[in-house]
Amino acid sequence: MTSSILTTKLFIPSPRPNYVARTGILESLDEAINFKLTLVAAPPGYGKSSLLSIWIQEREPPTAWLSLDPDDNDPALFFEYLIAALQTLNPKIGATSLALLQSPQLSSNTAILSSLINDLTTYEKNFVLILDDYHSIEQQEIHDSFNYLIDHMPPQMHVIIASRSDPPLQLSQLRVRNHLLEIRQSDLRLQPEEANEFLNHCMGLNLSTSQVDILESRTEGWVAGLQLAALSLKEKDDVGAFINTFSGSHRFVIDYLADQVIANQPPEVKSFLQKTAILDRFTAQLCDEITGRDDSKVFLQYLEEINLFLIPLDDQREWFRYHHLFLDYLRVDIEADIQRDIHLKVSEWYLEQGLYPEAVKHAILSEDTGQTIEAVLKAAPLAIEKATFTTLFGWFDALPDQVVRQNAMLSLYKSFALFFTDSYREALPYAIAAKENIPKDIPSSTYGQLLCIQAHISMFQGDLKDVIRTSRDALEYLAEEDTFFRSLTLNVLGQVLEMKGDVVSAVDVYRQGFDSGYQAGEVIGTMVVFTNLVISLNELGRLREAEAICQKLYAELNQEAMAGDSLANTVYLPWSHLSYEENNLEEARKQAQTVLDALLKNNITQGVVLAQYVLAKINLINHDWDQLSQLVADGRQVANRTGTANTHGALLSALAAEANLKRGNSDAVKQWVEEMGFKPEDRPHHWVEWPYFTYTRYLLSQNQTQEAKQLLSTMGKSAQEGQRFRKLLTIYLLEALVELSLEDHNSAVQRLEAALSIAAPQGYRRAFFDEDPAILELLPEVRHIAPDFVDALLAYIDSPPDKLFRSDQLYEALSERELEVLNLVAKGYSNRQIAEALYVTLGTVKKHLNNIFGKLQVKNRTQAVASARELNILS
Amino acid sequence: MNNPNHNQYFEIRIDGHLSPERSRIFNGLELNELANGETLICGNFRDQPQLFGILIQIRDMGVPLLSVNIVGLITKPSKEF
Repeated sequence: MTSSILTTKLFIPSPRPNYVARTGILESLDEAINFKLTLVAAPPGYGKSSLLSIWIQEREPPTAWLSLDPDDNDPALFFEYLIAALQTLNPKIGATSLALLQSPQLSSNTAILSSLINDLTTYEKNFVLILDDYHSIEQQEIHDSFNYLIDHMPPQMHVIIASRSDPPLQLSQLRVRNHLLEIRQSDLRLQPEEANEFLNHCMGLNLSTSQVDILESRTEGWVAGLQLAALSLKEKDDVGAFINTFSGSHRFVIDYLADQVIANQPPEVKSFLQKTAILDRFTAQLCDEITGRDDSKVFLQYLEEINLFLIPLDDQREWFRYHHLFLDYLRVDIEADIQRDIHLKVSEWYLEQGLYPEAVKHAILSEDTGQTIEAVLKAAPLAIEKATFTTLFGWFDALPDQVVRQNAMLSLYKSFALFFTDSYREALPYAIAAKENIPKDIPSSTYGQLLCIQAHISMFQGDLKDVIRTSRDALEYLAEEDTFFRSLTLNVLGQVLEMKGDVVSAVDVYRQGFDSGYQAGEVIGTMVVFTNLVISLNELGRLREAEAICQKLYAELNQEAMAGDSLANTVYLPWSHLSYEENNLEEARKQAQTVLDALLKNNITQGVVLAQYVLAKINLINHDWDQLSQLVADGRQVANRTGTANTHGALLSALAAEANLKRGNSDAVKQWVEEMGFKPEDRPHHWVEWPYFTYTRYLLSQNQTQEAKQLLSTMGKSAQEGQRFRKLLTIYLLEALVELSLEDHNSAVQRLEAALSIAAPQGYRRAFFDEDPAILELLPEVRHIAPDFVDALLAYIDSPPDKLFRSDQLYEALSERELEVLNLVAKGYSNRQIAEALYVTLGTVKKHLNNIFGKLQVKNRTQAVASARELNILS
Repeated sequence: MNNPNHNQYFEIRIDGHLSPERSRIFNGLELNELANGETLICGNFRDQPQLFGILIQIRDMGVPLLSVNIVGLITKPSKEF
């Protein structure tokens, strides 16, 4: 039943029978496929929607239609409807975007749109997206998103907007670039010959040319006015007298004519019209409900037959609405208390039908607090699930705050809404109110959700004990199938465990979160917990397991969804760290760059520093000092903004110090050590062990061997206790260097053996190359521990890959489609031949080529092929 | 230092005479039907949102809007809040 409202919004209105054939204006509209945006702007009643529906019926372009109304001023709701409209073209469009919409941790409007645009790019034909009644939209956020969509949509997509006023979009820029087609009031105005056809043929009147002319000029070619005039005339004996009085009157056309038309109707029709005009949309059943009749169906059929501005909203003729103009006319005559009374009835009816948001809307209009509470309680869970928070806050605003705080469930829902919009501080009093007044019969899973919120608030307040307690409690209460709240809870619990140094337990917790999301098929929703899981597994020295999880998730991701800068690319974030560990540096760089591009394009800061970290480490290896310092500066800025200066920021500043160490700038390193306040007797938290390793290398370079030894011994114990074998590996390597500088060769070899026993089974290769090369000279002596592994290390030293990748020519990876196009270009195909071979339009081929040129930083096809040969990316 | 609640007297000129019921949406404003077939809607507007509210109503009725005038001293909305 709920879906029927959606259906009415996506329904392409069918033209009324006997419409006026307006060849000229239809041909103007045909031009729409040569423009990005077509604006049909005119006051109500000029036939904007009719024109578009006739055009679609005659030309049959692939069409997505969305009728907007003022309730759609909620970005989440708007996107949901927009995606639903586009899915009428192809149900696969927007699947990832919908997942993002409901995943508050990751979603940003640009992320949702980028993913949607990716999907649209795969639609191979020209198609139109029609947004009717766009003037209903007042939210700047939605206009901004729409501007973004128009800027970035693929060439085969064309948008048509019908609106009563010019929308606040970038119209002047589009006009200058010749991307805007305009069909305006003067174009829509019926010409005298069209008025003649309309009145005498379509409406079946028999008027003289001069009578038509009078009506045409009095209504100024306004279709709605002419239609009302025709309706009035049908009932009149003296046509000439009527037309003369009408043309002599100063009364506003609609007021004058509607009075005439209504005056002709029987009293029960008048009364029916007035009561039902309260409603934006209605069914016969709903009309029965508010009129107290049982024959509303007959009335609706009658109104439709006499063309009285009744508009069907679906194929089954279940839902209807009145034309806006007629509605306004009818509504002005209804007393406020009658209106409230009707709204109350309507709200009750919607509640029975399970159409909760509608029930809330009318409950608020009825000004009945009790009804509003009841309706909001029903509607809130779905609104939270769909993340339509603007709408939800609007509902709460309609209730006195005292009422919300006294009702446990209302407080609960309000705390959820505030929590998901990152207003933790504001959420707290409602969470407390909810817990204090919690009813005994609350479903246990809802109680679990409340505890999950509380755990997050405690995390925000730094009360780690409470986080552990409440999140463990929450997991007891949360239903198995509530994967969303389970993975949220597990993620926050895992973070606290990590913070307390218990990475082993954190991994178990992350894994539960990942598994439950993965099994439920909510891949995008699992990304955050996935990243934490993989990085923690690596911390424990379980590289193979970590790699297997990356591959498992990657296999699950839709390859089309990965194209462009989709957020699905986040899978590469922890993966790039693993590739680095395995010494697959080119792979690591590509992965980190891909994820960084995707994050930046989608305006997401979470994860940016971790991707920059990998790139900076590779710059360190390549001695790309300038790029390194740029990355470090950028990354530290992001870390400062996101409040991770002490952890992520320190990781990056340590890399800058490593660079100075390599270049012999020991003064600069010394200054860094002083800034960080590092001392040999410190007991570092495992989150800052990497910077402490840099500090250890500095101590060794200054011959402060005993100090280095002391620090390594502290960190070694901590790593061993926490089973954090990845760090232990580097600690053993550094200890071997300590022994070498103490000239204790045997101890050094022993340490190296211990390091190998960790590294070889898992394939940790890079760790050996990141230390002083003196360590590598000992390798032949320990070969017996892991012959194959040591041989591979030695082989790499002897012949580092001859084609060392060039990090000064960062190129963005080409998509599969772009590679296909490039291969055909290399074979000498023309654009047209490529279009035919790949079953796409010429425009699409050109777009792909432009992308290829941009990514390879070349100007033409010849250069592109040359560059591709050089990069060895042709098949 | 302008008072943001400072009233401003406006004159809105539209084409056509409206029905008396219709005039209810212009509650508190004065409607003058002119002999030339135009209507002059006059009154004190509390603020810009109220003005735009009325203008949008006029747009949505499809009534041609002829002019909007401020009568008397022009007080611009204050920028320093």
